[in-house]
Amino acid sequence: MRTLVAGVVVGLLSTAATGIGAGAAAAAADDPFGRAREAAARVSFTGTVEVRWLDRDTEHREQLTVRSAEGSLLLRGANQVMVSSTAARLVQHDDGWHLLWPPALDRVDGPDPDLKYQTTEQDGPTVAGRATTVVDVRQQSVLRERVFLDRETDLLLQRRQYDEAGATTRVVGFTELVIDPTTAPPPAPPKTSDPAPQVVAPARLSPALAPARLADGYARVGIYKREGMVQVLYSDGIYDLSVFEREGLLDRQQLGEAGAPVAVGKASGWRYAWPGGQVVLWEAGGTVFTVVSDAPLDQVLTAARDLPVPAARAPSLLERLRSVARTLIQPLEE
Amino acid sequence: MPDGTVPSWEEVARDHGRFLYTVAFRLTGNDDDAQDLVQEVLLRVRKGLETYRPGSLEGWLSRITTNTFLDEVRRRRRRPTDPLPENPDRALPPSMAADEALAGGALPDDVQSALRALPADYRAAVVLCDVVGLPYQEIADALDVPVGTVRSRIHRGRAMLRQVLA
Amino acid sequence: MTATPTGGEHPGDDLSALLDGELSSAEEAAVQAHLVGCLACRHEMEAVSVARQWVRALPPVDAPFGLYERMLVPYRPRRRRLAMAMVGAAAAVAAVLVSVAPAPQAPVDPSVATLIEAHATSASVDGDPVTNLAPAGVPVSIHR
Repeated sequence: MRTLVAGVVVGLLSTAATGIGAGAAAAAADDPFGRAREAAARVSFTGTVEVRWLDRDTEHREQLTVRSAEGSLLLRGANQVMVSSTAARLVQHDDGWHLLWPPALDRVDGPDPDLKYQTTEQDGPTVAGRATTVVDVRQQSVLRERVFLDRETDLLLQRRQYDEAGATTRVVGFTELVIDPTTAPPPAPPKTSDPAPQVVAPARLSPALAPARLADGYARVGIYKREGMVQVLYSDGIYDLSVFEREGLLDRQQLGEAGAPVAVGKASGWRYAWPGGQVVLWEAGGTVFTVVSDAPLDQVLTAARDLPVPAARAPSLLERLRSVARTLIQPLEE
Repeated sequence: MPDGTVPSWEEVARDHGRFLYTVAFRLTGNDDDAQDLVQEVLLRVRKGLETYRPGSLEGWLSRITTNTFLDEVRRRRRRPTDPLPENPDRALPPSMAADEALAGGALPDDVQSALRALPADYRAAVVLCDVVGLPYQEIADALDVPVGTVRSRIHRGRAMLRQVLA
Repeated sequence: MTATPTGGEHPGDDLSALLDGELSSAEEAAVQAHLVGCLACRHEMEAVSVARQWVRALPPVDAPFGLYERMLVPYRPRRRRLAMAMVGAAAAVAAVLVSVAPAPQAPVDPSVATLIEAHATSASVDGDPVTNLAPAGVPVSIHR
């Protein structure tokens, strides 16, 4: 069982307290994900990771290379993502590296996963040439996730997710792994001048905008202000779920055609699959909501539908005129 | 695709995209310039398809790519020699299979760096010969120089590569 | 190039031409004959042969994800001019209203990819970094 005092950065790892796992408590023996997190900070390795995901009926597959040493980790696919030895997370775009999670940005511990899931551990098969321990994660006896940890180091070798019918919807894992203590750490990224996300105290937001709990066991673990938006982060102990809120009306022209329509309360929205999970997007009460999560789709929809709808303001006369004008003008602009 | 038909611009990008990018990357030595080069080449291809007579498509594409590359070299006063700090060197080799092919011990990244050290004209000749596989006469036509010049550039280019990677 | 003791000139560039099969059989025979008696040229031959193999062994290079897809998707520019010539009376009034009223709030760009990255980096803090961040290493494409 995890314990953590909110707002305290704890570094209980055997390596220097600036590694990949800094910011969370040391994992208990029966917390496989925590053990995996610590292993990723402790073990030096290189390898190839494959991501496979189902987007409606199409299976997609992508590969990345990984290098990790001395608490720094670099993933290279078509995008590059890095965990720096200061526990920051950066992503590289065309215009350089961007800091998306600065060092020492806090999140409160999530709820005990045992409240929602039953996990079992036993000896597993060989994955990436290594003997594993397999951890099954069940929700009410339905298998939702299966995780393969390296028996020797506790590194997470593969993770598989299943929908309610038992079909595999996502696989992320190593196809090749070389554990080598002499691995050179990745080069440090250059400094960025990005404004870093900031913690927002819950008291400063109306509870309607960031409820402390969402359906299906999701508890709020942090609120962050990023450029132009608020991110409310939830966790159920295994999965994380972010709710992004931005004022305004959605620019539908930018949506593209890959989304599947989905109802969220009275609003009609869209859902997308991305390699790491699900996205659900809709607008209500003058706010654009986007939920991003690695949880299975059924959970994401349940949580999304549990968000309170902001009370819509009565539109002013000018706004009503404007919306009429917009409807008339649009066909001319096609 | 039968060589008797004129392909569409989209078909060229779709079916020969990897070939185009390989040539562009070997000529320029980095992804940023290679992407720019490929985009420029596809624009020229688009226009050139009207007068393209079916034949060796890849020969034609490599000719356009090389000439576009050399035009750009001449236009620029200073070529960037080092990757931008935002692009760290590839941490791992681009292709695992490449290491098996080069039992002689030269990694693809090293060979590519050595290629970049060659003067552009020499590099173009070596790439057209050893990456694309064109015969000397076609290289001469592509670069608009006599065959003897092609031969000399290839030979001296290779000698330089060997010295750089000694 | 100096004359060799046997009287022939060092082949120089022809060495590469030999490797590339660009010499006639007569020329090839002459070069081979020279090589038998000339250590310096044998070394040179070896050197260029090795360099030739290195370049020939270079693997193909894949374009970064989406390079061609981006070029193949037609660009649909948003037309900002109103076709006033075809406007009916009601629409003309509405157009006046739009131009007179203060500019409406800029529409919110879905920017799904940005939000995905923000989430993935947040989620990886408490979980396994590789499996949480690897999906962010794959570009998101929501336009088809």
